[in-house]
Amino acid sequence: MTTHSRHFREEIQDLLDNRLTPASRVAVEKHLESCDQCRREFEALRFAKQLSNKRYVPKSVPTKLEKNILAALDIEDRRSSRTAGFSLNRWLAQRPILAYTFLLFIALVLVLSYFILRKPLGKSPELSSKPELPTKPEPPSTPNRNTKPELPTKPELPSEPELSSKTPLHATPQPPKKAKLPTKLKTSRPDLPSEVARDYLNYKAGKVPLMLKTENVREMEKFFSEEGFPYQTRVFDLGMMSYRLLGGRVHKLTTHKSAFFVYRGKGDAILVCQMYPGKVTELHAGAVLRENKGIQFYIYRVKGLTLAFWQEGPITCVLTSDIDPEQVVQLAFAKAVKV
Amino acid sequence: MADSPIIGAENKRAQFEATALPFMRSIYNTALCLTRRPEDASDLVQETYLRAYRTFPNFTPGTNCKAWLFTIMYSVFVNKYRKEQREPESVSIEELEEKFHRSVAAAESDPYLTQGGAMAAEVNQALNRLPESFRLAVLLVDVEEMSYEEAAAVLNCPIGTLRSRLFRARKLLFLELEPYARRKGYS
Repeated sequence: MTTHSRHFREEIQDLLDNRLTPASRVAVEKHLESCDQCRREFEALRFAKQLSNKRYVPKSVPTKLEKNILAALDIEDRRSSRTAGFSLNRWLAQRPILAYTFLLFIALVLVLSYFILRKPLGKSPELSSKPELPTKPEPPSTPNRNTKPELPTKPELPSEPELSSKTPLHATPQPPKKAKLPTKLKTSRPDLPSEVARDYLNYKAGKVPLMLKTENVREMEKFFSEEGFPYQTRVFDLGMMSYRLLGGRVHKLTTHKSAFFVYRGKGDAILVCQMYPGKVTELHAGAVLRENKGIQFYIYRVKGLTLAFWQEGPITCVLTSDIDPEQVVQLAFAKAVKV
Repeated sequence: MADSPIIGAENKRAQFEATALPFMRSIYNTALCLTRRPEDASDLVQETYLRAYRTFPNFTPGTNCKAWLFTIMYSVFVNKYRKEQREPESVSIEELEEKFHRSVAAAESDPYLTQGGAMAAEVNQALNRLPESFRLAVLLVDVEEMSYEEAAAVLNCPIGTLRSRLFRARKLLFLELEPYARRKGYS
């Protein structure tokens, strides 16, 4: 064996990965010819590299993964088509100077419109909150003689429906403008998962009483049918899973009439099911998608609760509980039916 | 004013599917090596593709889409999954070097033969036993055949760091696999 004063270390790997300059390559190769130790190290590294490269067997992608990804992209498409206006943001994001100018312009318009609208509205803030004022021609004199001076300053704004119901009384165009924006924001995209979670917590807090208390699934279904639900409510029999029906009620979930029924499991675990006419496409992004028996499940975690939504024909079903998330999902898997 | 190439909605979807989906197997396998659990790997891949789709208009056509997807996946993994993972025990560099040189010196012959269809399971197991940073270096460079520059960009580390991780990873793999290969008559 030839002895060398210097061995190549990192250069060996660079030779292996073809990262040497031609001159260095020649030098390292020449060295390898005469240095047994470096040659053996080179071969050892090459052995490891080739094994990883040729003998590593990648696993195939689970079939449902690709489906889930495509479904997630579908949801993303629907979400972005609903917020198509935001493409302007993207356009602006690519042009920072324009974006700043645009924002400045918007700010200027807002400030100007505030001052412009403020003058005619000098009276209308009170107008919008106090319907009796338009009937009084001399607003300045009335407060002085009014026995209840706090009335004009007391806003009656909290509920938007009140505002909009009063707007037709006034000839001024401002009140409808003011009332429109918040109501539109509220009704256009209801946060259904949060609402469902709130219903669950309210039930547990005793704020949502059951209209019919029964353990009988058929009796519960009959109740919903008599209450005029336009669809057959399928109340689950979860006896096999050790969940006992407690009863149900006709509920209102945002704008939907919902069949709301409750189960109790081991250790006082509460499971709430709601069924309402609607589409899972109304749900906002952020769900974890799962699939079982060809049915897509939209799983949300809200306030420590697990919510599993799925579609059954025209009905959206949701199971909610604070038990182990996977248990909720498995219960949904067990009871969902492809329609 | 020149318009930048903003992809239309229908085009975006079609282009994304054509450009990014073919790498799903690579992404999934690396995700599996990172998370070690098929369910977590699936979640990681789904999250990666969703994020990639959202930012697809920023992707420059013609550049390395696979490296771009790996970068997104590694970022999601680091931020979302790594906290839950148990870090593998650290490797003593001196001990590794010593073992490697001893083993190389004791080897009866060279070069080592890597032909034949066997050893796949052993290679997979040996790769999975590597510490995370070493495993990733091997996966990206030796399995996915990325350049040092691309792999370093994915892992957000200097090229020198990647090189030394790769060097050590290969030595560890050699130590794991060479005795087995010799027993089976491949070397």
